[in-house]
Amino acid sequence: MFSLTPLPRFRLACPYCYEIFPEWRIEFRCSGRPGPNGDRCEPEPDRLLESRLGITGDRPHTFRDGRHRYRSVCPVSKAKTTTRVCPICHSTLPVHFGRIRSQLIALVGARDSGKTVFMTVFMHEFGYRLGDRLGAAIPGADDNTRRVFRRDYEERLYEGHSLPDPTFTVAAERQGYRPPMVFKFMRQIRSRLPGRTRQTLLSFFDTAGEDLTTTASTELNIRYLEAADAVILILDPLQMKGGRQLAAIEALQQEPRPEDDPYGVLQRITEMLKAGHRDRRVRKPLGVVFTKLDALWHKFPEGSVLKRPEPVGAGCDERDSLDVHHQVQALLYDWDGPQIDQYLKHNYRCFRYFGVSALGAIPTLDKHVSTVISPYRVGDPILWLLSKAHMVPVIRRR
Amino acid sequence: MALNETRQTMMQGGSGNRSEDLQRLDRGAAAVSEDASCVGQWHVDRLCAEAGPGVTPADARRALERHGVRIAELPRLPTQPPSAIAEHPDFAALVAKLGRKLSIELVFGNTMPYGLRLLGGMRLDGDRRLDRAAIEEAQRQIPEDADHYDQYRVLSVLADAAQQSQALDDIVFWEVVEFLRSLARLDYSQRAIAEQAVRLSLERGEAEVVAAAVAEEHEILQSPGPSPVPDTSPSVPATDHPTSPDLRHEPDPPVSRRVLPQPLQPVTDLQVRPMRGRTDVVQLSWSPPSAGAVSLRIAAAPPPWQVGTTIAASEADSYGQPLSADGVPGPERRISRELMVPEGAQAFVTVLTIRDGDVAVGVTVEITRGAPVRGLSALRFGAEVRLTWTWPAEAISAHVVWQPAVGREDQPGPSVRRQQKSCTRRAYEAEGGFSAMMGYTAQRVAVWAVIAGPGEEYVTAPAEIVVSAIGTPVHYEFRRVRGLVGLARRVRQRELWLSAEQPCVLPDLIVVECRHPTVPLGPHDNETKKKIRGRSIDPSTPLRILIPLDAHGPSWVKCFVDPAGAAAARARVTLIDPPVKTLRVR
Repeated sequence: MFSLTPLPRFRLACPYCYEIFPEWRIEFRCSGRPGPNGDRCEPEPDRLLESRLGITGDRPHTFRDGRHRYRSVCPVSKAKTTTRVCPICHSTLPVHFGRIRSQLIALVGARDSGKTVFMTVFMHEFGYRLGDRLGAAIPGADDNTRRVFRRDYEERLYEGHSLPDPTFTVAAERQGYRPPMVFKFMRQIRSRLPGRTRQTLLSFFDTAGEDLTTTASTELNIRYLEAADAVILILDPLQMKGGRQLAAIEALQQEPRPEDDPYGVLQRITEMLKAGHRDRRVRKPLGVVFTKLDALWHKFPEGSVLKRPEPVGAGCDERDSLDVHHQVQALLYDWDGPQIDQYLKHNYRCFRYFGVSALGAIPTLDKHVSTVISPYRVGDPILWLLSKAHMVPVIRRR
Repeated sequence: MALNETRQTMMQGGSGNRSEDLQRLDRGAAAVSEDASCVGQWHVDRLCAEAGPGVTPADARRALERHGVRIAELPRLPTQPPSAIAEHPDFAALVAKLGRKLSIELVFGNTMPYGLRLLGGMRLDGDRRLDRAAIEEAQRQIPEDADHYDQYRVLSVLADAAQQSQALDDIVFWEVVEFLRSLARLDYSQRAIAEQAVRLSLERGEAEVVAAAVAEEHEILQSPGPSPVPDTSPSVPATDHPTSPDLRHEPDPPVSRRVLPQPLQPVTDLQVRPMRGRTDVVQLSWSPPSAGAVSLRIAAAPPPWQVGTTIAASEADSYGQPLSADGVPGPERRISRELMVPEGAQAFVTVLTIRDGDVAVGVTVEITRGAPVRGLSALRFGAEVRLTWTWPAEAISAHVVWQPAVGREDQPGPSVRRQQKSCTRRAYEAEGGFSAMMGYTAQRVAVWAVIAGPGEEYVTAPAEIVVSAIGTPVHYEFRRVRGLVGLARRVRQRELWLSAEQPCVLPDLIVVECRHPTVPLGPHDNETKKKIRGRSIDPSTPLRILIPLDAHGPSWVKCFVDPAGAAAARARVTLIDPPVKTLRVR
């Protein structure tokens, strides 16, 4: 009988631990329900889950089934199960893992550059304006993401009007591990067959800024960066001397730390990405996102591309994106000189600059947002990365 | 000023016990906080006196601070220009002609440093200096253009002043104060004045203090009578500025004796404002006319008469229901009374002046329930305007109305190009505010919050804002030159096409060619390839201008408004860049 089941994949990356493995190594976790004979597997501590991700608690055991890919039968209790787990970390894999594509996106940047706010606002925007614009939805792919994103990120920012605390460092993962957020991106595509969608899993690993301040702590992130399909580097223009001179005075609430110097962070990340690779330049697409534009808006002339309305097309507007890229590149020379641009040109095959304001206003000194969150261009970087992965169309205008 | 109006919420007759006084004080302080972030001792004493005898200045201070109002020692404001510019009566006109608000902007150009401090002597943020050397350097940088002489004159005055101690400080302080006074005369709120002061590069804390001083001075000047509290504020001088005579000790203006019967005057300043924290009560206030008695009438529709019409008393009696006009005199001789908002869709209150059977029809106000949205602000992205505000607690949605700011809303006749949209609170909060395409012209925007009541909805009083215009969009692009000359590869040239969305007058433009690694953000010396004189442009007829380029590329080509042109002319248009890849010429 003809089967539409795709061939097994040789290289899959766990969206939680970012380890690489072939599809046939995926394990199943017993459902814990009684089997046909009434036998039942008792939950037990999962040492792998605990040691890799710091998640404790008893769970039914896992097992490997080389003959079945999506459902199996527990060899002990004979109960059916569809729960697949990563062979490395034992995280429960999203429902369609292996059958649909995955995009692992690493969010990196110095401390206080706005990574977590950027991701939170992007996801929120996708639920409202961006999703509508693209005809796409981006729900959480697992219970943890759904619960944690809503409680710790979205509610805190949008209802509490409070900026998030500094992200846990990977070094602290044993005590307070913050796993990657995994979302499923689904977009309807034009087709004669009704209801066809294009899907991919999006895993965002939000690094702590502290992880990138020293070479020792960056080692812990190498695994994530190596497995990532794309990298978003968040840079804060207010950490740059030229940017600080131009910024609104109320945005300059703290002095920049030398270890958060954007150029230094970029160098450390690049060294991690290039480690063990022959090619001189990194192939992964890199979105270089300059946040906190709201502190600099008053310096942009009317007619500037960074004061234009956001594009409204159902995809990545290439012309607008290129205009922003060149404008930000020129501004970067004003803010920090040519060093970052030159470094990127010599070390990355594919990179693009973006300018965003996630909050749309300057937060108060006590890290509160006094008004509604009103982002600007916050979707551009991820739409560009998704267009690189052919998940959203590229809009080309003359 | 709005502070005057808000203060009347406290004037409700004689004083009761201390708890009532404190409640009144709290209401007054809350009302003050709506418009001011900083006040001086004069306001503290005034609040204290208005709240009643049971309230001490310390109570007033605490109440204000509880509502987020800072109490500061306000500087004395100069009434005469400093001597350094008094000898040059056209100095201010020259600065204005050059499109600047402060003369020192000519020294710093477009890199005016933020965080300017004026109180206690001028200090600039960072390593910037304002001294004779900096001014002379700016003189050397003056471009050769039509404004060359004017700029030179202003800078010369500054350079001379720089030789005297504090003379530059006095000039800058005077210019700041004069600009803010002009805003106060336009009835800007104190917060708006402070925002404008920040835009003048003042450090925010000082901006609030100076704005408070300007607003207080304006309030005193506007007040026809003496303030109810004698001034005890130990105002501190900012520097040795010439200071105003103490306006607070001015005696009452002499009361003129009425010799002839005065004509019947309508009341034209009836105002309605919500009471903080209450949606069921509003406050009406008005100035009593010099002759006649005031009568109020409430109805479900506006009256058929124009303001100023004189009608018979019997005719007035046929309109709506009478309301008691027994109010409480306020600090500016205004009478105020509270009014329960009637149940029902709409209500209008009209003030009438009655004498000898004749009635002069005054202003009509609409009675709405609840406080308006607060903190209404606008951010423009080209033709798109994004509005944000803070909702009243009970509001569920808002009506947003905008129309070109050139016309007045209260003019009779149909509104021209008036547009309206509704916005639910859920959508507002989820989608990051309210945004609409409002075009490039200045827009007067009003936002009414909608409050759900039992069985029906009510709209609050509107909050308003004027969104400033940006110049007419003028698009340009560089096209390849067609024909045999264009085909010759050795000839590097482009044709500049300029097209405007509306008929307008182009300012002087310059086309630059440069070999920077990035697209140029502004023109630099020795990069100008062509200067294009200002001229009229019509949307139907694009301008085409041949631009010869250097023999060898690649290079960036870009068009800018000539920065040496007059500021007013420069602001007339907004140049819209073409796709950036077309700016790169091989």
